[in-house]
Amino acid sequence: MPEQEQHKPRPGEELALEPVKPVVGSAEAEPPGASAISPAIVIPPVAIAIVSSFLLALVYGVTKTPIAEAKKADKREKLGAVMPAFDNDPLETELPLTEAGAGTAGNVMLYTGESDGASSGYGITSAVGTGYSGYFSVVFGLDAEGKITEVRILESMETPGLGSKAGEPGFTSQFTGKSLENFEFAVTKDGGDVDAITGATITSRAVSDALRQGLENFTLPESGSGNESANGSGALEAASSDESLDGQHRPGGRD
Amino acid sequence: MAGRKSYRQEFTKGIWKDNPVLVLLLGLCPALAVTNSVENGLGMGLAATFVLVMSNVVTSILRKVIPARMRIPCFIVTIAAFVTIVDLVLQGYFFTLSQALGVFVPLIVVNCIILQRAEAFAYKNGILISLIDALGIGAGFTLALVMMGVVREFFGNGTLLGYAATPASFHPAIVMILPPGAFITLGLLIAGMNWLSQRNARLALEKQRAERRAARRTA
Repeated sequence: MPEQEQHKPRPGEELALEPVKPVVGSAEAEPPGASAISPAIVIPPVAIAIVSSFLLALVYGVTKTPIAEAKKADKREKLGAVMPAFDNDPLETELPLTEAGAGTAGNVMLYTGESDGASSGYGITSAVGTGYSGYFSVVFGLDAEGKITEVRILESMETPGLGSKAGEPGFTSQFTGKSLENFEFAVTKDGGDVDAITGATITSRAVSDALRQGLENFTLPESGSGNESANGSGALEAASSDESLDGQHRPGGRD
Repeated sequence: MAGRKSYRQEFTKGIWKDNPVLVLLLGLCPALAVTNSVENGLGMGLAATFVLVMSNVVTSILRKVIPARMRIPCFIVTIAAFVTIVDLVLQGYFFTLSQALGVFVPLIVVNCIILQRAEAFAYKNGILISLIDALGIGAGFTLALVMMGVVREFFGNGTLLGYAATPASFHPAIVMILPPGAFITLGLLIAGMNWLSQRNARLALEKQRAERRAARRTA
């Protein structure tokens, strides 16, 4: 049964095949013989395309919320991991620091963590285009003094198992307690202070670029400058920074 | 015509005789690119299998209405639709996996195995047998990818499915999770498969000869 059907032309097809010459585009085929575009040859693809788009619209509608939720949950989880303790939802404090739009290289976003109404630290996402496969973004936390607490990869297309090691503590722990003043954010090969991952120099470079870009676009709000929430944030901020200083400042890091 | 036995044959041929990756050498791009861990290989294999099954079934259902000259655009639209569905579902419900597979999920559209099965099989055969064919080829693809993932993850990272599988003193050979490792692994797997099937053929031949000899002796 299967084989014999193979070469027997179907009714519609026979008709369509008669004016053979202009085979390619149906639009070009018009002048010589309009019969080249018979309904039998046009309707099925068009119908398939229409049905497919309806199906896709349906699936898109169903998965839209879960996808947004999954991305949000991922970002929230990573912010929670990198920022000093907070009790608000940092995602609600999102503030772009550069003009590049979300999801494009050059984008830097600031998230503020608050504890008892005062800012306890910051989370910054920074995207660069210099990853091994282009777009690459990290998320990192800053304590109230502007020193890095933790670093994670937010979105990347790096080689799984190799470039993706840039998100593991073995690599990221070297940034803890660092800021632009006491650390050169470039791999040692380029004269900086970052110990690159073996076999993933490009990814290590991208992490350095992203961190530097994030830090350069961030200025620590002056305590008492008045742009904070009402209830004497200056004092509270000072208190919390002292606390984080005790906790975070392990002398003699890795460099 | 298509008896129970031929259904079984259609299924097993995709795994062994016509294994898409190891025998037909099709779909090598994802096979080489994503198989640096077992999880990625499995995820890719299952995603491609789903698309393959759906595309084969739909192609088979519509084989009487799709005009021969327009069949490739029809196949591609069908395949692209299912790939997009897979991509959206992975992003929504299996976020980590979709992050790991990255660009290779959208690229299932141009995976030549799927187009080849639509073109060479589903367009000419009934629905059930096309389904079986897709399942067999999909299983063969997934198995090949998982095998590559096992070899590469074990030697390149010292883990299996993310769990440590080697003592701490083991130094993983990074080259195995890099592109060269993919080619080396694929070559070794194909060599092993050829050796096995040649050995089987030889054994079968010897058995046949022995039987013939025995038959002659009794005669």
